[in-house]
Amino acid sequence: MSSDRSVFDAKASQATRDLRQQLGQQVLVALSSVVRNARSYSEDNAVFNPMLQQLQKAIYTLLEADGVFELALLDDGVYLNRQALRVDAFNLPLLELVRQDLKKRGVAGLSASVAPPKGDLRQLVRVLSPRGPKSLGSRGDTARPFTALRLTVGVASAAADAAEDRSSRLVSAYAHAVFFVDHTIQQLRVAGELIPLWAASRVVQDLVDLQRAMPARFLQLARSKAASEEYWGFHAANVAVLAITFGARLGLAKGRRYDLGMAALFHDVGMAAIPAALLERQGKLDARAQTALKASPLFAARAILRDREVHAAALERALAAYECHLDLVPAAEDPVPEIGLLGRILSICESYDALTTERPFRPARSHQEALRIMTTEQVFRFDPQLIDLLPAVVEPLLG
Amino acid sequence: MAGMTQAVRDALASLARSFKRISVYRHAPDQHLAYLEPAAAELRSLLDELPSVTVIVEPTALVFEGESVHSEPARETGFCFRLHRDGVRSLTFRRGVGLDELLALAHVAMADPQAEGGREDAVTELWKADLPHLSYSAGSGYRMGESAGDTFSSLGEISARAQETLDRHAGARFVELDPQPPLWSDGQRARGDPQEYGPLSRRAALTILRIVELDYAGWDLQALLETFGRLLGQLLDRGHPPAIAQALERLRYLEGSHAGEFRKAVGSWLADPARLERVVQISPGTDRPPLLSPWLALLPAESGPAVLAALPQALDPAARLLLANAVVARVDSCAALLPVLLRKGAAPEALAVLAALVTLPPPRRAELAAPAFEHREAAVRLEAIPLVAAEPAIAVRTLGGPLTSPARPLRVAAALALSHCQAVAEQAAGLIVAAISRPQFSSLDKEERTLLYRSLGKLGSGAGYTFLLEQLSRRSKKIFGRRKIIDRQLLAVQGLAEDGTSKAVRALEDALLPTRGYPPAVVAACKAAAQHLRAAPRGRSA
Repeated sequence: MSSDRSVFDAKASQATRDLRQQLGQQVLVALSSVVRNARSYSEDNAVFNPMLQQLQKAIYTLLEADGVFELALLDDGVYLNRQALRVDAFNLPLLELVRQDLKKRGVAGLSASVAPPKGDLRQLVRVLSPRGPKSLGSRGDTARPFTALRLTVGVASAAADAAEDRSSRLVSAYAHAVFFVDHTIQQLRVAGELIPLWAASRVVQDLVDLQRAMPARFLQLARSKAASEEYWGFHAANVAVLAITFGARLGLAKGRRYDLGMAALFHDVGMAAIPAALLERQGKLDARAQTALKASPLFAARAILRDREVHAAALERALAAYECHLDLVPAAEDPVPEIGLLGRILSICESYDALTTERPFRPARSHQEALRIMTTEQVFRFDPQLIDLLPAVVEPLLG
Repeated sequence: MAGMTQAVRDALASLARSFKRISVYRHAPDQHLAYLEPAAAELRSLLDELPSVTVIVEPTALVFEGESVHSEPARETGFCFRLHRDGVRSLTFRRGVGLDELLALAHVAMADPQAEGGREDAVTELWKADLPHLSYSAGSGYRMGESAGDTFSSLGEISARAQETLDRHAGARFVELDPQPPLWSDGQRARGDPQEYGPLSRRAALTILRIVELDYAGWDLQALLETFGRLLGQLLDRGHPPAIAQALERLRYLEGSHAGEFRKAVGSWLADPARLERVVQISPGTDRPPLLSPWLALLPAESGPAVLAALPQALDPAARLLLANAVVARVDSCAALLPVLLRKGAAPEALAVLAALVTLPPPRRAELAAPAFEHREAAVRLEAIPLVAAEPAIAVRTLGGPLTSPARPLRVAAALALSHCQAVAEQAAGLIVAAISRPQFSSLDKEERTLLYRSLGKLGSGAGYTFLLEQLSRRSKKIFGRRKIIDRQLLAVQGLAEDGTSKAVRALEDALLPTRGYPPAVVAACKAAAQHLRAAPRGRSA
C-alpha cells in the first residue's frame, strides 16, 4: 500500500469505501471510550471489554478487506487505510478527544498488519491512560511492547501534497484526469458505482487554472495519445484540454470552463455499458454493435443523472455527455435536437481528438488533416458558428 | 499580538453574525449586502493594520495564530463545519476585501438545508467564485493511488507519456502565447450560452424519460425516478411551468416496459398535497403549454382528497374546472368529502364540482349532487337541479324545496327538471300540484305559471290529469272572480295540451261543446290544442 493519503482511493470499490467509513466511525467511538475510561480504570477492568471487542472486530474486518489497518489522525483530517473519513457533527467531539489525547503523547496514528491480540489492546489502554509511559516508541511502551499493534510516533506531515512547479502540476493534473476516467469506466463496468464527481472536480480546477497560466503549453497535452486499449481515458482528458481551451478562447467565465472540463471527462463514461470486446472489434460493426454504441451517450447521461443532483452544473455534465453525440441534422422523421453550448463544444473537441488518434479501424490523422475534414466533409455535423472558430482554437497544434 | 487576536476575534464575530443574519433572511437577497456592512467595516480596519489575516478552519472553530477566534457548536448547519467537511482548511482575508466578496463567501459557507437539488462542494464553489482578496487552502488533493488495475497504465506511466509529449512539443525553447482577445463578444456569449435553468432541466427531464422509454434504465430506475422528482421539485420551486408541462406531457405518453411503473411513481410524487397546492398556485388553467392537465392526469386514483384540498387555490375558473374534473374522476377516494364541499364550500368551488359531475353516470351524478341543495347560495342549488333530475327517484326527493323557493330561477329549473321525471310521474305531479296550490302561485308571473302547468301536463300522470281537468272545469260564482278562473282554465288547457294523451284530447274536445258553457277564449284555446294534438299525436295513450 502506498504512503499517499487520499480523499478518494481509486483502487477501492464503493462498497469498500463505505465499509471503511463505517468501521472508521466504530474505531473512533471505541477509542474515545478507551481514552475517557482509561482516566478512571485500570486496563484489566471489565468496563473496557465491549469497546475493545468493537475495536478488535473493526481491525479484523479491515485486515480482511485491505490486508492492513492504518489509522492516521492528522490536523487536516482522519484517514483510515488512506481514505479520508467523513465525520458527522455528532461524532466530531469524539474525534477531537482522541486526536488531542494522542497528540499530547506524540502519537499520530495506529496501525497493524496482522491481527492484534487482546493483550495488545489492553496494553493500548494502559498506554493511553495517565499511568502510561512518558515516552512512546512505535511499539508503544518499550518496556512492554505491542505484539502486532504499531503507533505512528511523531507528527506526520499533513502537507503531503507539497507544492510542485507548474509544469509538473500540469503533467500531474493531466495524468490524474486520464487515470480517473479509466478508473471510473472500469468501476462502472464492474460494480456500477456512482461516479465520485467531487474528486474529479479538483483535477479539473487545476486544469482550468493551468490553462490560464500557460495556455499554449496546456494545449500541447492534447497531443498525448494512448495505446488503443486505453483510448477512453486519454480521449476524455484530451477532450477536456481542448474544451477548456475552446471555452477560454470564447471568453467564457472560469466556472463555465470548469463545467466544460467536467463534462468532457464524463462524456464517454457510457462506454462502460458496452462490452470491451465490442469496443476493440476491428472492421465494420454489425447492426447490433452499432445499436449498442448508439446507446452509450444515454448510458453516460444515466450514470451521471442517477447521482440525484439537479443543480445546473450537474445537469450540464449529464446533458453535455448525451447531447455531444447527437446529430445536428437528424433523420427525416426526428425533431431537430436541442443541444446546449457545452454539448456543441464537446462535439467538436471530441471529433477532433478522435480523428487525431489511431483507432483499431483507422490510422490517426494529422492535426491539419483533421481540421480540414471537420471544416469541409463533416462541417454539417457541427455548430456552424463554433466550427468556424476551431482553426483559431487549435492553431498552436498545427505547427 | 494579543491585541491583534482580539481584533481578529471581533471582526470574525461580526462576520459570523452577518452570516447568521443572511442565513435567517435568505429569502431577502437585496438586504444581504447591508447585513455585511458592519463586518466589512471591522475587517477593513483590521486589514489596515495587517496586510492579510489567515485563519485555520476547524470543524467547530476558526483559529488565528494558534488561538480560537470564533467557535460554534458542532452542527451540520455551522459554516465552519461545512467548510471543513468539504475540504477548506484555511481562509485568508487580504487588504481590499469587498462586500461582494464577503457575500460570495457567505453563500458558499452557508449550509442550505432546503437545497434539494444539491450543490457543489465548498471548495469548488470558492474556486468558482474566484475572489481576488479572499483565498483559501484545501486539504487533501486528488492523489488517487498508483494503479487502477492491470488493464490500465499506472499514474507514473501516464505522467511519463504526458511529460514526453510536453518535452517534444513544448520544450525549453517553447514560448507561451501572449494573451489573446476572446473570439466571442459579450453579446455572443449571452446569446450562445444563456444558462437558464428552465430549459436545462426540461432537457434533463426529457433525457431521463428517453432512457426509461428505451429500457436503458436498468438498475438505476429508482435513482432516475428520484432525480426526475427532484428536477420537477426544482422547476416547481423556481416557477417554470412550461418546462414541467412538457416533461409531464411526455411522461403521459411514455412507452417502454418500465413506463407504467415510472408513471405510477411520478403520479404519487405529484399527488403530494403541498406540491399540488403549489402547482395550482402558479398555474392558470389557460397555460400554454398546459401544466395542470398533464399533472392532474397523472395523479393516482386515491388522490381525490388532495386535489379537493387544492381546489381553493385555483387561480381562475378554467383551473377550477380542471381540478374539479380531476376530483370527479377520482370520486371513489373522496366521496365522503364531496357532500361537505357541496353543502358548505365556497360557491365557485361547489359550482366547479357540480359542473364536473356531468361526466358520471346519471344515478351517481344525482346522488352526489343532492347535498348541494343545502348550500346557502342559490346559484349552487340551481346548478344541482339538472344533475339530480338525471335520477327521477332522487329528483322527487330533493326538488320539492327548490320548487317553492323564493328564487324564481330555482323554481323554474325545478319545474323543468320534474317535468322529465316520467318514471316517478305521480310523485313529481304531487310536488307540482302542491306548488300550484300555494297561495303564492297567483303572484307568479304568467310565464312561470304556464311553465308549472305545462310541466304537470308533460308528466302524463293520473293525478296531474285529474288536477288539470278540475281546473278546467272550475266555474266562478262571483262576477269579479271570472277573470282569474279564465286564466286558470287557460293554464289547464296548456297543461292538457302538453299531456297529449287521448283522454286529454277528449277532455279538450269535450270543452268545445256549447253545452259546457266555457268562455270563448277557453273554447278557442281548447280547439286549437285539440286540433294540434289530433294533427300531431304524442304517441301517449290514456
